[in-house]
Amino acid sequence: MENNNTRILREDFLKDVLIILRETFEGSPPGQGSAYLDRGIGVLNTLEDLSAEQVSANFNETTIAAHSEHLKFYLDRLCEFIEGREESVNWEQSWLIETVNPQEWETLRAGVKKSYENILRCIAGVEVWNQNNIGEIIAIIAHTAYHLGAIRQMIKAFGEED
Amino acid sequence: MKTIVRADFAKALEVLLMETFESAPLAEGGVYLDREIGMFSTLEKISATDASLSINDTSIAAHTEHARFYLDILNKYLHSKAEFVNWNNSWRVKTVDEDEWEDLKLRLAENYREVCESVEKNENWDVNLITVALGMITHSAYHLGAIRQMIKQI
Repeated sequence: MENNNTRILREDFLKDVLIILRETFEGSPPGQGSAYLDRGIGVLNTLEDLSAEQVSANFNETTIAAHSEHLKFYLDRLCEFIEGREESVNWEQSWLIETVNPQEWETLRAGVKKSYENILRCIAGVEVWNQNNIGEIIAIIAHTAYHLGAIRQMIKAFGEED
Repeated sequence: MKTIVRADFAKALEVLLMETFESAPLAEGGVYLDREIGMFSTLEKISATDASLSINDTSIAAHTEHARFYLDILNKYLHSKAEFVNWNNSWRVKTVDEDEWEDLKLRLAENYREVCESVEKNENWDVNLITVALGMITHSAYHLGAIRQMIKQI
């Protein structure tokens, strides 16, 4: 018979994944501590404060718009992998956007939010959590955190150039 | 009550920790990072002088020490040894000379090794400790993203 120590409660795992995922995109809840980001900082409110002109500005051969599209593309593909996708991905397609006009920026921001919400739906649909899909859901958060770190440095650099 | 196999969770953590710090195995490619851009290979290419440059009101040395400090504290959480933490102490380092930079990188590697050992040995992944483990990876990824962006400004 299997020792209880060899198992983790699924509800504990999902609760924590959702806490970290929410902090990454929405920022930590008002009045509460955060797990790894400064309070209140998340992808959605970071992008909300930026104009199409700012996110299209070339910064060391990339743009915030490019990072935003790339992280959205990754969210969508990883969700597909969690749902059983087997064919490989051409990741170069995740970097096709470089600049955006105001309307395109609105659409891209809305797309990031929609992809985030789709990840929540994706998580809810998983029957069995194994090494592969556990790795994929953590990778979704880590990849987003990586690009949030990059984007926030780019924003700081813009401030220095003003 | 539905459960997850502990070894699956621990193995997934180990793979992502390794990719974040040591880079993904070349033959297999990364789960979320491009090849050879993990924390250690990123920092190895930076001199103490460049790590000490003021970039966006901070420095790569400061981010490295902050990432190391966080990893060390969260590892203590895994062992239920953490006391009150003054997080301001994590940002004390701003510049480093060559010896200090080597020492900082070595201590980061040591803290990483201790975390891997903790993850491998931990038998009680409760709701608090799972957050700790996820935080270790995501916080390191956030600062790796920041550091690699700062390198472009050097």
